[in-house]
Amino acid sequence: MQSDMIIGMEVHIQLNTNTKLFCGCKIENAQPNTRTCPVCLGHPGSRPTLNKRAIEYATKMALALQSTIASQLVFSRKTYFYPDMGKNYQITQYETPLAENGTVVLSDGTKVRIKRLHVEEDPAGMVHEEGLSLVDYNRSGIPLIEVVTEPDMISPEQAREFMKKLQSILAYLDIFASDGIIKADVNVSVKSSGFERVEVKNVTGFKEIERCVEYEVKRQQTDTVVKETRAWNAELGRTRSLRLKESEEDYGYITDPDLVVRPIEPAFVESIQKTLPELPEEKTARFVKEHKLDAIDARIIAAEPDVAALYEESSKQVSPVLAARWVRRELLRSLNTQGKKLKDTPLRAHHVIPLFKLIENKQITDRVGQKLIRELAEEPFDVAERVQKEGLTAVSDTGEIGTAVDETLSENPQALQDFKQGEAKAFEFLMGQIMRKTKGKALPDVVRKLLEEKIK
Amino acid sequence: MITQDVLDKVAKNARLTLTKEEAAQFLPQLDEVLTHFSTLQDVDTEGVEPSFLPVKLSTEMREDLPEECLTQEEALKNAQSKNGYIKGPKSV
Repeated sequence: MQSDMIIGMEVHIQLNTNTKLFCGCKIENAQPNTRTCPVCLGHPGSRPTLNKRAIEYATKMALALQSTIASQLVFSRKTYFYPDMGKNYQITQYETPLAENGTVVLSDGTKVRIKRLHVEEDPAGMVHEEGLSLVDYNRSGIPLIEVVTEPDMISPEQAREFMKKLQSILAYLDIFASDGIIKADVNVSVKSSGFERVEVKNVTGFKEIERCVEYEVKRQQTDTVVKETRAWNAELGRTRSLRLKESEEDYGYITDPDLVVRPIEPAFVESIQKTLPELPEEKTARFVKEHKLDAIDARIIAAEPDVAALYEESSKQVSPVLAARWVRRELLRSLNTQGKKLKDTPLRAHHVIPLFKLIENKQITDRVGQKLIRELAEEPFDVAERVQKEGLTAVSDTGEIGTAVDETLSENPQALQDFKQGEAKAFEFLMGQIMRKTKGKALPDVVRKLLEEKIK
Repeated sequence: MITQDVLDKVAKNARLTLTKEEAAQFLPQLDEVLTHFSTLQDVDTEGVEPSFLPVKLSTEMREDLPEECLTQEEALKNAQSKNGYIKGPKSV
């Protein structure tokens, strides 16, 4: 079956090394042009020296994407004249990228082929002013990897999932700083235009990449499409036509004579392979197989390393299925509502395990559990202490619950009558009223049983 | 053979503005240089590995350790600047 659209991406990712790709200038936020040296300013006579960690990180990513590592490391000069490159060329990889032929598998089984992964330096940062540009070379020379996919995605949802997968893998590998740069060139072609190729350049950030794909698909399906390069305007949420001055052949790539070819030894690749952690894909499979988790629960939990770690620690102390349900349905939902990521909160496994135990042993009701997890997501506290202090222990005492049932029935004669006339909903209403009266602490099973006894 | 079009394009990529007189002067010169080097294209390189350096060297890598940077004052010394930035030509 032919799809309605095809989407491919070139994603540029900043590696979180301490220093730049070809010099020892520190990578950090600072006043403009205070993290520079003759190399990253492009002064004549300066020579690049290659950052070992950048190559290790890039190799890590290449292996995580199951790609084949080249047998030698070759850098090229991409010549262009623009104020963001002092030496008038960018050092990148052209004919021989670090790695080729990788794969990312999406949840629906779609294989997104990774054509190539290469290493390059970021150009300087620019601020545009009336009639001139202001250049900050602090950014010049920051190591980037570029991941190029084949046009294997067929919907904006797939493109979004692909980006999420990349993000998840990067988090596990710990090679991308969350405040780092992530940029993409997005290629979108739709069927209605005969798959005319349109490239949108320089979309910055995970959110914007997603927005841009959605916008561009919609635009192409309703507008006249020509083969062209466009730019993304994040403020307007639109793309616009861009007249490109250069094509690939104009860049006059040559092998960089300052960075002579270096063999990539199999021993080096093996040593990197050994440092790879268990990746989200493998983790998901293990959770399903060994912990008997629901596939979606498993995938969502495995997507973030911190969430996975919290779950795994919990699953050693309580039933894995219970832990998974509470982590995914309650904890992640609470964090989401509060607009937080687990990794940015002080919440750890030792805060939630006591809670899960209380739920597992039916010492607190689910309702109380939900309230406590919402509060934990706001700010961690000692759960056992809080339950004690606020008297949140589940009530199973039939005498106490019986009183609540009697009171509720005498307060809601209409509901009682409705139930007797065959309205099943009235029963659930009464259940709810009793739960409320007991502040959610009554065990629902006991309430149900007592209520049934009294009115049937 | 370098045509006027090729010259214009290369000049534009290099952000050079040539006057008519300069173009007329450079065109035959560049053509001569290119013709001279095109002799190399007659060499049969079938099956020969490209050689980038006459001596066998391999790039060494350095550890990811910070080194001293230039001060802002030093970095801007040979440039026109504004508020700590280097001034460049208008580019959008």
